[in-house]
Amino acid sequence: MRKDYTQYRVKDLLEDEDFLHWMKYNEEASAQFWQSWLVQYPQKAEILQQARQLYNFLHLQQEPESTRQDELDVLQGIQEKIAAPQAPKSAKIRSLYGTLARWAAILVLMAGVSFYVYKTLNKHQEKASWFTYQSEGTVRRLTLPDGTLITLNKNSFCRYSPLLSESDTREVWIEGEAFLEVSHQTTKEGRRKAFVVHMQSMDVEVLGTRFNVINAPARQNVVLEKGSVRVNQKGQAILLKPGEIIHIADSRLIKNQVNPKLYTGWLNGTLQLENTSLEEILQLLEYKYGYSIDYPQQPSILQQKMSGSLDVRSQQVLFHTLSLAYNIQITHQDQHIIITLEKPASNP
Amino acid sequence: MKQIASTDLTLQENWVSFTKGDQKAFTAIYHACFKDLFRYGMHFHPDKSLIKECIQDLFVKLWNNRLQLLKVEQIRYYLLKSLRNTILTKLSALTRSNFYELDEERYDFEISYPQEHHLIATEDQAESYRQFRVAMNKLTSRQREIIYLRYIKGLEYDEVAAIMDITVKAAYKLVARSLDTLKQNMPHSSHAWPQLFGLFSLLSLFN
Repeated sequence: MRKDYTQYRVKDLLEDEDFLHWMKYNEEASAQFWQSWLVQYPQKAEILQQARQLYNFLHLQQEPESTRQDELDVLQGIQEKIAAPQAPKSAKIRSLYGTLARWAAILVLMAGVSFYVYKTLNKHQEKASWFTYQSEGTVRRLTLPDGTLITLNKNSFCRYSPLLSESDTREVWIEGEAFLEVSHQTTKEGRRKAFVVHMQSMDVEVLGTRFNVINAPARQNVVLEKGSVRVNQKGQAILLKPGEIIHIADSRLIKNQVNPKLYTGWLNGTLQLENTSLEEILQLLEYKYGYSIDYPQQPSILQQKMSGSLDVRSQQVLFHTLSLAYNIQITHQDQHIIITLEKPASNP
Repeated sequence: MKQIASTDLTLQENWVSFTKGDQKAFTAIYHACFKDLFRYGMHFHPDKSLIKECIQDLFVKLWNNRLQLLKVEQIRYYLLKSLRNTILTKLSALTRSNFYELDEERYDFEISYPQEHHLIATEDQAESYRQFRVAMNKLTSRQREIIYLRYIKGLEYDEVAAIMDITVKAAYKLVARSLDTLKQNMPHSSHAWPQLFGLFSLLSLFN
């Protein structure tokens, strides 16, 4: 039965499966459908706008979140109450630890000797509750039990539960920088399994995809290369499209357009530039390394473009190459960079 | 489009083992569902310790009744529904009203919306959002709850029905009535709506 869209009201859109699917997953095909729908029913533009707005308003709610401690407290209470005489508690717990320890050993072997298992990362957490990996001075690749690939940049670490691939929501915690290629997993009834990356003050909810996260003391951002992710912070949820970066400034989420390739260049140790402007590169330095930048007086130089490959393994080398390529002078003190023209501009 | 089973394989397997007395499977079920249960529970009462106590009571009761629970389907929704009953029973005991549980409308279900939000950029949006918050408060708890489950959690009608312990037909009706009420209480004043071609760029601000 074809739908009679001419009679549609806001309420009908909110009860329409196609509309809800579009709002929920924001897929290209749905967007195209609704765009042509709008061309066909231009008088419905206001209705569509109102329905979208109402849907979006509904999702601005602040959700109460539990802590890991809450979860352990309640579990302890349950275990105390159900500890029956025929099931000696100590024996049970020892066998659980044994299984976890065996699992941990297998995973550590899989991940290679250079990964380092921290046992006492969080004092309040149960021993052997988490698998934690730290990349030392080199970039490390890690395969999670569910097939997700994580490339950890130097001096970064990643933590996840041993039950990762069993739970409905796969969760990892990242500090430092990482690039993730999330495996597609479905639940029994064919639904997509959620994958969440927890950062200091935001969460990234993955809808099947490749993306880069930076979770460092002075900066947190997410760059999406492919697919779709939702970033959650204090009950706000923002959907990212490929080529977008989101970061936190003054505890608010701010979205911007970038070239994702620039942000994943560290995976190969070089940055491939294709008509990349100086402005884009300076923006990268801000987001990626947390520099604050004094932009040059002459804005025209920001639009100068360059192609080729840049070595990003050392910041010294990077600065040197940049100053030669754009004919600029880069002076930096700690996290502050001042960009000036090498030679005073001869023509204004 | 209808979802029939609502649990994944592992949860299902763990559930079977749990009903046979496997404590490890029981713990796994607990960890897989705690966050969801907590989040849902906190909408009924702001006291975190009370909700934690209810979750504890629920799991103790599950363990004690495990032999009768093999037939449970839609485990996740069964747990949400059971927690809902546990909370409502506890709250009725607290208010010492014997009729409390008979009166479905008398429970509280709150959804917290911030006063301001950075996504709300223009005056028009701010005004609509203000109306929206007022309109949400005018809904009954049951209406707010079903809107929460259906739209914010994105559940299917049969799942919503299972949790709220009503029929699927009643769930459709309740959603429709809630949307009507919500929309009626949001009288969109005569805003200058953008022209067709500017619309999508404006909407994209909201994604």
